[in-house]
Amino acid sequence: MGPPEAGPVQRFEEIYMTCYPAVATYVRRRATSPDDIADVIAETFTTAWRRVRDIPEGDEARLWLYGVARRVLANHFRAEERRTALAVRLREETTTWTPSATGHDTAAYQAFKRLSDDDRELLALVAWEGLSGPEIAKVLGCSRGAARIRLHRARKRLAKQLSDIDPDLTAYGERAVALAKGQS
Amino acid sequence: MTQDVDHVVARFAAPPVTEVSEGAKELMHEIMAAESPAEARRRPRRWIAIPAGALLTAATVALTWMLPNSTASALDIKREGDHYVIQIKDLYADPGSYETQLRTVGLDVSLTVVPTTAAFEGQVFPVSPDKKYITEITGIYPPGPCDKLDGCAIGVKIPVDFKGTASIEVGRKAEPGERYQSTTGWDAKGEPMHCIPYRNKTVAEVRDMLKERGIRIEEFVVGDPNRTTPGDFEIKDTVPDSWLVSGGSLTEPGVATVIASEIPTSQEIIDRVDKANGCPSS
Repeated sequence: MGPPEAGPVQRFEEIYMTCYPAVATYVRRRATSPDDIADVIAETFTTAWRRVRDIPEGDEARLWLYGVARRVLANHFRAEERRTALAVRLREETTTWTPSATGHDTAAYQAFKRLSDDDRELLALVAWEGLSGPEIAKVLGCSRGAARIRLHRARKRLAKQLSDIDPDLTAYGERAVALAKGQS
Repeated sequence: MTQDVDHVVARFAAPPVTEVSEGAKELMHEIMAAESPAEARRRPRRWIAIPAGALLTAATVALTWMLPNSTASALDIKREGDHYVIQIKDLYADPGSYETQLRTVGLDVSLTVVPTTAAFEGQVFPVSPDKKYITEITGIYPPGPCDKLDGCAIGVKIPVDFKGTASIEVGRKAEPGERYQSTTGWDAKGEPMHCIPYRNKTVAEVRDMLKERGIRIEEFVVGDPNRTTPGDFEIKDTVPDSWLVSGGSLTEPGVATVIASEIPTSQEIIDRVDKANGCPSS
């Protein structure tokens, strides 16, 4: 019936080579320092190796890894003194990555920062990882209905923040949509 | 509005990591060298996530099978005459705990519960180490007909004097979003398209038929519908709506892979499959 279990080494290598860019991107967009990025990536994949037999098949592996990385990030910031002995070379690489995103000096970013961690994560999973509602539910370990409602509320709260600081900021969003569609 | 908010947030993203760098590869090898992975573990589920479905028609007997019980043992093993009658009380228990319990009564038998498509819910599939089907180990079936290709069992029956080695797979209903580990054609007995004349209908028509049944199309397999031997096929995200459907299967609840082609399926094949499925000619 089911396929025989591929060896854990082969399975882990496949998952790692397939999902590393997505996981590294996820962590890069959330961790604050290059050392943190390398540590969180290392800890996420160490957990994945330990539990390689529990990792779901196909693209769900990526969602599963996001879930692990999310928990590692949450724990990591409570124990920042802990540094892994792994990932020495990766840490050298991450220090050369250009500092994170554009637009962090804007009022819109300040509004985003004022949201709760949960709201920010929901919005980021949509806007940065491009996940759908059901996929978000898998990452967060909640029902699809709960994910949809929480996402709806997070969007509303950010919209409120944006219109509070500057009514024109929501208009910026519309222009961004127009630009994205090539209608500029 | 929601789209606008998402676009505002999208601007704050750091650039993506696009490759597995040398440092990343080194990390992968370090991780694997540091320790060994653990055995698979199943997470405890809340009771509402426990599948309820056709097996419930077996009323109370089935309920004892379906309901997990984390405090008691995963299996209920009773001797009845010259057989052990085994009911799975916790469908999500670690397979190792089933095996331990089976060993205590002297059986060299492992048991795995896998999510399956509807036709195989309640399937009991015992094989020997050389992958031969074992006929001495059987399912326990409630009275009345079974509306599934191979399913409906509410327990497993093993002769007390069974001396061989066996691994048994038992099919359970999949949870929403859970991939089937075992599936079959969507027109098999117990499947949503059973005895529905869908062959040689267009992709657009079949999409509507599936939609009525709460099923969406995940991908298409494109191949010659009249070939009788295995051959090349191609997997596509989309095909023209005018193409003709020759088959399909469900990969998880409400999600289908559709076999389609520009070429119609021959009436001979349609007749043969209808007959095999026990359906009137279409």
